[in-house]
Amino acid sequence: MISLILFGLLAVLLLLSVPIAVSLGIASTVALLVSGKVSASYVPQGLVTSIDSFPLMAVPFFILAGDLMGHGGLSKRLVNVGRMFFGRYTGGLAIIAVVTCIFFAAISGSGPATVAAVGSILLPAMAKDGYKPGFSSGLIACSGSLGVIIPPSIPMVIYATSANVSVSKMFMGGVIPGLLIGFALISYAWWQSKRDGQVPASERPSRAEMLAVLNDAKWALIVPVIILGGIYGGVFTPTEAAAVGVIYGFVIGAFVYRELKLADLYKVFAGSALTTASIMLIVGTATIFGRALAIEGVPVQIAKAITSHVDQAWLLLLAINLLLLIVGTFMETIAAIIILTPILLPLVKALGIDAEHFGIVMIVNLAIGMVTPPVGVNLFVASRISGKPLETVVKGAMTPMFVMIAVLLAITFIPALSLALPALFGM
Amino acid sequence: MLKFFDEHFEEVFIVFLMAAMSLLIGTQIFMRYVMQASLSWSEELARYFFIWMTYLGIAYAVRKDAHIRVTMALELLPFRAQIATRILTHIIFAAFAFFVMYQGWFLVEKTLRFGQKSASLGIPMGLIYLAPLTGFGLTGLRLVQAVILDARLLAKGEPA
Repeated sequence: MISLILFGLLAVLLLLSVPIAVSLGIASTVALLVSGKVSASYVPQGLVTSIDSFPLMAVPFFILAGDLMGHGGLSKRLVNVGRMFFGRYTGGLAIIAVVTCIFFAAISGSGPATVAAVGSILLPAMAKDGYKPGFSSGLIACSGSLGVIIPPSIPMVIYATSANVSVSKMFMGGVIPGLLIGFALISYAWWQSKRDGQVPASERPSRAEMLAVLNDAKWALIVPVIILGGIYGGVFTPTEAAAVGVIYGFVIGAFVYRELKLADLYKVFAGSALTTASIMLIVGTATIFGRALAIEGVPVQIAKAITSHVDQAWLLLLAINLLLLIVGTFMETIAAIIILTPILLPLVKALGIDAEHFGIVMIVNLAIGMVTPPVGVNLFVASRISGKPLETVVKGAMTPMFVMIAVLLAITFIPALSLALPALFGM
Repeated sequence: MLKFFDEHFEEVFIVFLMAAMSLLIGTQIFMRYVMQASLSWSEELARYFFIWMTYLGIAYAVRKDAHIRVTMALELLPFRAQIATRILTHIIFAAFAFFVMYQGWFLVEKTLRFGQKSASLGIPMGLIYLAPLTGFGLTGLRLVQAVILDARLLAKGEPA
């Protein structure tokens, strides 16, 4: 009965286009009140306690740092570096797009932000060079999801808080999977451009030109060293690293590259605060939703139902992948992590799967969910920036999405891809 | 003047809180490494700024229509039905906001009466629980505004 209220009401509210956070809040509040097991004041209290967390504060800082660096001219310079290395090959611009997403992902922790930063520069350039709009916008929508796989990553911060694992270890675990997906997307970009008869974007640069480009981009290129190096060197916590990213992005954008004007600065801060608030309300209400599920014993029921059919780790992982891919198509990433982690984690742990490995599998699945309709944030951003209809982007994102799924299977069944690097660093 | 308040009221606060949070944590790192003196209170204060920023930001997000929603089904409807449904969603959101305010009020009153204080700064916890109360109060006002704006759109008829 209570589960019916929870899921039924949620479905109706979502369908009516009530904001996701509010739908989660109302469904769980009504369920809690009907069950009568928790006092009503738990709702406002839960809204505060669920976000009263220092690790979670990495989220606003990483959003702000990424925005500052995108507006401060750092992404433009990363594109130049990509152009220098890959401009001379067939499909140069397409390859540059993926490579720049890889670089920018190491600065930003968000998928849509990566699509916005890279797409706003490269989509116009690719259109001018005669790339098909579906191909270029679909490719950048997919490559943008590297933003949440290559550290830093906002969903990883959320997962680490829900699963009670180390943010640093999650970040380190995402490096190899992220690079693998990156290489797979580069190969796809090259292959497809060759079929479409694209020509190289530019001549091979001279040594002096290369040095000039690298020199100009050096402040952008050392960001990952500062942020990740700082975390792994034990200099600061992930949240502090994110705050350092904010201050660094501000100083470089405003005083070194001088592209960040005071008026922009205010807008960037307001925009980041707005994004943070809408995400944090989802964190708050999804936590309450998870609590309502737990009170009704739903996680236990689901676990029983699954374990009675599935008793092998590989089969369970396959089933979970399928579930997450389906959930990822319609569910918002952060809400999915907060609600599903407490349900699925005990299951996979019982079969001897690492919480960190499972976390990476979940993040990659939900990253793929960012490029699948109906709820695919990266698709929306790519469509808005390219000015092409959503259907064009969706079609273009289809093939690279299957490329990502292929790599996802490798990541699922070879735990070492996610675990070897953290182990190497003694984590 | 009124227009400025309408467009920027919550914005000024959340921009300030965001900047203050960044500076607090920046100072915390600076003090620890350069001045060799760890601050005990900066993290806590930054966390409370964060909570307040979040809840004021929720009202601002209503003004900017920035709350994430699934509009796929909605877009199948004709224009007027879409606007009518939007008005309905504002009312549903307002009902939730009112519930949180109402329950939040008791929570604030109770925590202030018990005199519960934060760990390192000794801030009354009631002031922290005041954040969702205030934020959802403003959200309620923003929703009334949204209903009026959408109702005008509905009265005007077809899209431009």
